[in-house]
Amino acid sequence: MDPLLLTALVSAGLLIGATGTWSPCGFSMVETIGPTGHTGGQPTTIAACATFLPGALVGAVFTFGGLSLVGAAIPGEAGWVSYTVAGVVALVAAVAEARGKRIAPQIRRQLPEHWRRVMPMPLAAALYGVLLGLGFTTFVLTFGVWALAGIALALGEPAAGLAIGLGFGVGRAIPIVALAPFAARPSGRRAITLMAERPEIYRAIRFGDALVLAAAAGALVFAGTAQAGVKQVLGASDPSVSGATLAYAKGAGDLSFVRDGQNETGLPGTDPSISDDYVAVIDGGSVRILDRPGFADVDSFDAPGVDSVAISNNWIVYRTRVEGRDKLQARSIDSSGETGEPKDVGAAGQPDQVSAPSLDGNTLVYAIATPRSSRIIKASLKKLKREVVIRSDLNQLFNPSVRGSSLLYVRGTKQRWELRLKKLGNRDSGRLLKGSDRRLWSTALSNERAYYTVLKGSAPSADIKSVQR
Amino acid sequence: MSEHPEPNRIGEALDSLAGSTSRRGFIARLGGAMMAATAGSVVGRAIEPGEADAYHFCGHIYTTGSCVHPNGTPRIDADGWPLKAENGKPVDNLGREINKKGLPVDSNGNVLRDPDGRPLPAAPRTKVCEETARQYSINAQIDGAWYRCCGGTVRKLVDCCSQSNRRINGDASLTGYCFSGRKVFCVMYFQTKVPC
Repeated sequence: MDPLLLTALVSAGLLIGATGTWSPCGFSMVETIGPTGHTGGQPTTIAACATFLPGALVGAVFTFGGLSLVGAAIPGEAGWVSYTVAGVVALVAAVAEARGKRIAPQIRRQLPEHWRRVMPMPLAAALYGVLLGLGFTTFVLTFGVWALAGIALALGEPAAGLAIGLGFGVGRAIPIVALAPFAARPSGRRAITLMAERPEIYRAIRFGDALVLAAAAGALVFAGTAQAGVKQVLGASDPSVSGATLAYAKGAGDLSFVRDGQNETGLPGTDPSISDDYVAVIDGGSVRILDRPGFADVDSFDAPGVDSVAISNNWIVYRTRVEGRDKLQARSIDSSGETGEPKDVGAAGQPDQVSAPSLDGNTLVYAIATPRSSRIIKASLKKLKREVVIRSDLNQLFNPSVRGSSLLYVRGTKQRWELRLKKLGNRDSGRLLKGSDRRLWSTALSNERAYYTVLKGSAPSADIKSVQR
Repeated sequence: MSEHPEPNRIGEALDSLAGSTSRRGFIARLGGAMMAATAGSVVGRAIEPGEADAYHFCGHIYTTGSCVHPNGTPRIDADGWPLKAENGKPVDNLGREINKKGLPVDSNGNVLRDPDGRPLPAAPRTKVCEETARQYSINAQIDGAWYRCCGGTVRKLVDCCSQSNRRINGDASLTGYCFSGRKVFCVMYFQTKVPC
């Protein structure tokens, strides 16, 4: 996830959590945990502060992390639509906060006061922390709480939920933990009285909430734009995608390029494949691994007859064609980018053919087409386990690509060429994304889009196109 | 000590009624439902309504009577001095609004004067809990407190605590927010300006 966005979400969580100190329960916590709220004096206050903070973190991570998991379970991939929805939610809340609108809907509930009488104070403080961290168990003092919940749900990314939860939990706890030990002292009493009697301080905090929410909205839109990625490249073929970056071959020599937004960068070699950390290219009879984003050489190895390559952060798989026989081989990549010994993972002799490989993490997919049938195979490189995902004795299934549990492939029928997307665990043929009279060729799959090569003419020229998943 | 009439009792009663029957009450229930969805029924059972039924005033959920206050309704400032319930202005022990010097003033803040034009003399002003203790010949102090939402702003509920086993009502006293063996003798509140 974009570090800028994570920073914005954590910052928003912090300030929005801290705004809750102005709620009845926030005030109550300061005086309950503080030395004026029990007989234990400062040692009990310190112990209660020490348990309140983790309690608030647990509650906040439960709520916002949970909402992000709920969002993740909603069918469809997180993409620019999700980011846009989350950005709009943040922006609307920012406007409401800037104008100081009355909070609606309001939750008119409170923490159970009797806990502090029936439990040891540190235990009560921990449980109070959990309830306050949950966010929706007591009065909401800023639209930001609703907005953060909406953002976590819309993005459906556990990293975002965790970032919001940690920020919110810390923000919820810090003012209380900082004020409580001084609640009995004149300075502490003055601070609490100022908070209670100067609504302009609360108003200023809400304006701060508006600013962090606006910043979060900006970061979400920025990240969403990046998510939108490249939609097409004319005169290019054999796409490979990582995040918003597309790698492809271009021109008669299949030269390597990567495109991030509008910026196209040429690379050494041909027929590139890209992952989060690396780019692999073919250089004559060898394979070179380059790092990202600098494209410095990391490793290379000889692979006579190599004509296609796929790379993930921990594996590289390449196809060789020697004396009419296609062979797929895999090498592991260690943390420094160096490759291990080759392992055979698939092969076919003429007239059978192996498709270009596709990798996501440890998962490899490829197709084998024969005159009798065609099939797409999924292989776990870690477990060295293979299974046929889909096969047909009637149609040609070829050039698959994989992303998570989704498989994109081309199905050639008597009538037309089809681009299809299916779940790896399902037995169906998947959803039709694109039908064409022109030949559809190599594919690549991002979280957002399905890329494919369209071939035109008998000495084919190629374009890369894409459709929303 | 006799109970004083409370001018805004009807409004407060309506406020408490709203907690169970109105749109606000509906939202409270909706909030409870949402909370239960996120945190489970254990939490749903644990949390309490934010605007409690009023016995003497909004937010006060037990039956102990109000502390001795010159105007009846036991509104105090952050330090325990008496304030007029209706407008939050400081009052002396005679229940008159006063300025910073303690001189009685009218509703516009003008100093009240005698027929000769001299300011009316100031009257004593004592903290509500201390005055109650003095009148009942007990030792009393403020211990803990709790905050609730009342009439659109956050209210601090404050107990005046003593070692007495009898409360201002004349019957057995309760623990409330008091500790170290002290129990609630009478109750007060401090109205903040924080909206809720």
